[in-house]
Amino acid sequence: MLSENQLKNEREKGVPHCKVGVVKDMSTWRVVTPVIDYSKCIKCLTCWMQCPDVAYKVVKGSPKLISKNCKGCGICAEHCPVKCIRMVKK
Amino acid sequence: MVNVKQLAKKKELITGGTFACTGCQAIYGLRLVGMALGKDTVIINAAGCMTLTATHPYTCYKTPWLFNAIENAASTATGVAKGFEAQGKKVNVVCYAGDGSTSEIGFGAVSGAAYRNDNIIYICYNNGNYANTGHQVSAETPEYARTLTSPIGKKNKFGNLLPRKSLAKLMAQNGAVYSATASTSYPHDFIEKLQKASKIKGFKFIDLLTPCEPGWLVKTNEMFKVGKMIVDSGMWPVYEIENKKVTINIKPAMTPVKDVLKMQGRYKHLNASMINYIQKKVKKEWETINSGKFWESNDY
Amino acid sequence: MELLDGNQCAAWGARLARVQYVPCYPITPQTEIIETIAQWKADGEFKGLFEQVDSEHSVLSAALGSAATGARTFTASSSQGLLLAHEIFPNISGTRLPMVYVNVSRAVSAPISLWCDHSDVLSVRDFGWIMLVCETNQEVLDSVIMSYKISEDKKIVLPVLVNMDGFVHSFTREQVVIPKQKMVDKFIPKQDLKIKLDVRNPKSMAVPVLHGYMYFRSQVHRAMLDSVSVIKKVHSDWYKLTGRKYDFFEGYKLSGAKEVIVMMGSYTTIAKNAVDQLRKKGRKVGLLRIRVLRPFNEILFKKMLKGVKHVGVVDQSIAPGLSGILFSEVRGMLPSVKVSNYIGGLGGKDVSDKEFIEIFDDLKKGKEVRKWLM
Repeated sequence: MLSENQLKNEREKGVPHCKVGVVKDMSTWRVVTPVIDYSKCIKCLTCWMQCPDVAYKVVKGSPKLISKNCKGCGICAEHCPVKCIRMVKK
Repeated sequence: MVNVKQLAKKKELITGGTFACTGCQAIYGLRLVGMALGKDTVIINAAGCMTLTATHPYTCYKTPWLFNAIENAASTATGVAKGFEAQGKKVNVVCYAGDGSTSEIGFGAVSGAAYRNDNIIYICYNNGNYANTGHQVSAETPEYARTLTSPIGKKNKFGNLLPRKSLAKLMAQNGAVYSATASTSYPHDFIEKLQKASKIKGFKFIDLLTPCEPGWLVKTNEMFKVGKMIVDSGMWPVYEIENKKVTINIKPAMTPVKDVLKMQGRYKHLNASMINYIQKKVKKEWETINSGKFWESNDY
Repeated sequence: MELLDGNQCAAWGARLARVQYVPCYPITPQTEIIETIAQWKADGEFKGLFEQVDSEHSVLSAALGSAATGARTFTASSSQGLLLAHEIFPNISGTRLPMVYVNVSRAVSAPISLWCDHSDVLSVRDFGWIMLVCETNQEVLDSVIMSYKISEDKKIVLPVLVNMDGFVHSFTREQVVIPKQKMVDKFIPKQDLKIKLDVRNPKSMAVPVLHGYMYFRSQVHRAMLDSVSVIKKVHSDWYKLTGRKYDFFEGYKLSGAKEVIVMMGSYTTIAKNAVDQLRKKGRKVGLLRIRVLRPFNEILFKKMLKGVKHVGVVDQSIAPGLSGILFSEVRGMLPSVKVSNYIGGLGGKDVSDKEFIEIFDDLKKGKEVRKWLM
């Protein structure tokens, strides 16, 4: 049976209260990173739409990478209709 | 009609940064559920890959999420739907469970919920194996696919020998008011189906094809493409059944199955005669469907 | 005063508590509970939602789902049904959801038996549920209502299991007082669950943990221990409202008793009769009935048995290879007292008052024994 102090220590040590939307940094999983050539980008948002990991956000109609969500799968580069995304080694 | 630019203005219901595999289409399916249904949605999950996307202290869900066990997403959802009904609250109750849970261990519960016409949307994310425990064979594994409990060996050159259950057809016969198949590689079709389902009262079922990178052994950047090619080759018919009336939503171009089979490492062992068998089966399936005999067609 | 059997009492408890959802599945000897509620629903007398689902596993899963939304949930089952739903028991207590489950005790297969013993209910004693074991039909009715008050207490939020014996309670009618609806409404107002499925305040519930599993389990244990004071208060409040007294343990003629039988369930009534017969002859015997099995109020248990020389634990269960289950639980709490074990009543086998008198005679002899009442 944990004492009040022990419980307090547990809470401070490693059992944080879960916050919705707190995410892990997935950039450590990547081997390659997508890079958009905005001069060619037609803002069709296919990359945003097809990203399985919500690694793009749309800012003023233009897709922007959320680096800590991207695992480097390459689906965006594969399906960009104007092929303006390159998968670059980190 | 789905307008991408309109969707981009809405808030996402899941965040990134989950433990899902690189390129995983099951978590993509969940993202599409959020896009289609909005924030008045509660998701009930059965044990599978998606369970680990909400592991204390991390959760990616900005919507209520409930986990119970592997075989009871449907019965838990029954309780959730009735609990909200008893309190007069209008909420989309969605089950997001894998094919192992839906087609095998949880089949009784799903059948029960369909029969009772409980007001839930049941989505089976179908990657044709028990992915979370390491890719074992399930009742949704297609013929000749390799899994770790239907492996290729000296005495078995084929892999899985049993044809899969046709879940959408079964659920339609079981009493679902709306039963459909979909694919994450045709996201607009899936979103439209979800929005349609949310307006119908009763048990709605969607069998969602979600390619699995470590189970199918596909290159991560081809994860979206492989799903599209499976639908385009006719191997995964996309249709909807409303009160027994069938509508084929995507007419496949019938591209050769060998093009998509060679993208998947789980079919690496196939020789010409096995590929021929699969091609013949898919061709026959569509001939039967196109001649108006949908209910007599045999799924690959 | 009405003539009601145990099943009807359980159903009345649910009805008076204004439960909002009852998922159910039939199994002898519980079926009459759900049939009673179904008839009330069809007649418009029961306002909650009632649904028969496809298996007992689905029953408890649906109950978890409904409790998670904050709706007041009730269900019931027996032996094989309870065993099928086993997996969900720790799920509900671990997720910290309030609900009441009535178990109509029935022997566990194989061989198949329809009659009462405690092998089913005792199999879930370690799953974090508060457990009340009843002796009379009135106690069943009162306990279901009190259980909602205990279960929904903001400090506790744990599910409660109320046990009655199959056939002896479930199908036997006794004189029962049905509490007034107004009084019950005031006693257990509308439930207000803090952590639940709510789109305005989204939470991910019952998920896996990376670290901190021990922390969450310690919380369940702590809540159980905290519930001792809540149960005490609920019992005392109920006494003030109805004049019916309940406690963790019921001491029957314990004053000056040297030999005491410890047991639980419906067979206690017969044992009490044996105590009466022996007390008439001047023998110093008594009985302690366990009503609240979890949380086990060890301090009170030891206090009530102070001065006793020999305790005979009469088990209506057996842990094969060890001993009776209650015996294994309590013997360590009484280090300076002789404790004997009697296994009886398995599969509903009768235990007569004469056999209880023989047990007391045995206890008087002073030698610790382990016997089966065949």
